[in-house]
Amino acid sequence: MEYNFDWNRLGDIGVGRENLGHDMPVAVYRLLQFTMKDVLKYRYGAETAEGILREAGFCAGMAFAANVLKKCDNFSDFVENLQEELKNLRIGILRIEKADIHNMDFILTVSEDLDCSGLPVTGETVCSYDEGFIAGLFKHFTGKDFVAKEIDCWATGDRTCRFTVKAE
Amino acid sequence: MINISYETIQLLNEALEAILLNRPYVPLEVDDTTKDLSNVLSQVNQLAECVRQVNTYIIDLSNGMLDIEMPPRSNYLAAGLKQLHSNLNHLTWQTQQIAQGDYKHKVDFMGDFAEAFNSMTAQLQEREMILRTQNEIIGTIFDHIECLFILSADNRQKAFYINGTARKVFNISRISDFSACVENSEFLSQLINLNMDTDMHRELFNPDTNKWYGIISSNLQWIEDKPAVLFYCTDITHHKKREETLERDAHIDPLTGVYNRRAFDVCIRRDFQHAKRLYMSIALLIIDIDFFKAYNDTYGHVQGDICLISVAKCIRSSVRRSTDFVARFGGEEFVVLLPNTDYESAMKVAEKIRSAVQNLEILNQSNHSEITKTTVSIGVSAILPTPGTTPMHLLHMADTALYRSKNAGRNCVTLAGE
Repeated sequence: MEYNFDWNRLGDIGVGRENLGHDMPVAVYRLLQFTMKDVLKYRYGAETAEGILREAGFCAGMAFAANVLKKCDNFSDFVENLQEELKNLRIGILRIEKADIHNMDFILTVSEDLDCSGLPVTGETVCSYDEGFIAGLFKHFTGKDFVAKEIDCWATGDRTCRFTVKAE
Repeated sequence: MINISYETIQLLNEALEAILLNRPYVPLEVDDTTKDLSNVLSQVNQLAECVRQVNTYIIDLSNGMLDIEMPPRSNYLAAGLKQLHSNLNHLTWQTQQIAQGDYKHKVDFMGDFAEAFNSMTAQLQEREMILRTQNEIIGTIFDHIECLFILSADNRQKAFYINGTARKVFNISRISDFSACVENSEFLSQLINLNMDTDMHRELFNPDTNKWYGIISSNLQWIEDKPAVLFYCTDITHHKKREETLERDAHIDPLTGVYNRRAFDVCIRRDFQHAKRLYMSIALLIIDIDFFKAYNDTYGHVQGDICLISVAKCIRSSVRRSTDFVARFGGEEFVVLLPNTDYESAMKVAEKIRSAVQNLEILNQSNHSEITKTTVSIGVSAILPTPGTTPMHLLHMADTALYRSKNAGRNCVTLAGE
């Protein structure tokens, strides 16, 4: 599916927020996302809501890779650049647990994740937006379709989010 | 109200003690006496199992085993360790990238370890840059010095290294082409077969390029765990040419271009011995320009030199055999050594020379009122060398004959002994 998202739609924040600047507390971000998720769940069911958030994350991941990340020739450079940007933008601390480039099979962890770090344990993973985001990043880098699945999360009692990322 | 017996409390106490002190744990069983506490017992059992999993996990991680299964999600006690495990996996991956030369990876948010790791990476990178620069400098120097070959000591057709100069001179595109180039080059073929000890020096001529090379060889330690030999080839063509020039100049009369006295002395000794050994006749002509001193006094030394040059040229062109030797013996004296020549033939050559010089028509109006042509007087000797005879005999006889030519009125040829 082709998405119409255009990075320019984010606007010029420096111009728009001369005094308040670019930053904002994580709690406000989560307030936006979690309330939206709740309403979507209520309206369309949990599975559909998760799916929508995942698609939105995918769209964001593709746009992020195209507009924020540098063009990289190899996986090592890609990871280094992505780590740096995620750290700088305070999205999370990315680490590689496994990288099987030949089979396009990866395991990533994101510590201090924007979506879930510090959440109480509910027994379910909650980072569906991040799943889509990661799939979008990898799609942009490789040109291939990926499935990213969160297997560990703060909400499931872990201290770091763990994602498997596999090419379809 | 729940009744808890003392035995049950004791059981729980022992179970918790076992968990705390890491002793073997026997799961608590629910029976009639403990059925009211089934949830509690179940949770204690679960706690024991979680603690056991965490203990095993800690031991494996502390032994550096990273390719292990993590405790299940339901074990919340293991959460912190799983994060550590994840960090260690990431570090392993980063270390692999750094080992492949990718130094931009940094460790973040791991406290003192991150600082030490990043510092190590930075130092590795700096050292690699220094080494790379040094290699480039050395490589550039090596490529621009004279021909350098590093060959396998076991098989000299296999090259470990050939510098840029050698590749250019011998048209070697790749090291793997060396063997084929050896087959096509006489020089390279000789080079690889040179039997030289370390630091010996040899000279080798390359007929393909018409150049001389000085070769120095040296045994090297080990390259790729194999013994090697180095050949350093310096172009000494210029040096050789200078040597030849000096050698030639030492034996050539600079004015007339014929051999000089020194060369004649060597030649007569050699040819005389040769004649003696082979029982051949050898002849000598001594040629003196008539009234040359007067000519010089009349016409000047410059003209005198021109006269000498003309006469020398005339004498040289009058002898045809490659074995015949013409030299300037003294001021206006020349000698012609004729190996394997008897007196009759020698006389013919002498007369030919005398006539040719006269026909030069170098005019001389020195001592006489009339203008005359420059002539030569010639003394001829010819002997069959026997034991006891020396080159001096031949010389003396020719000299005596010359004296008689002068006394006979000059412009004539006299045979020794006549």
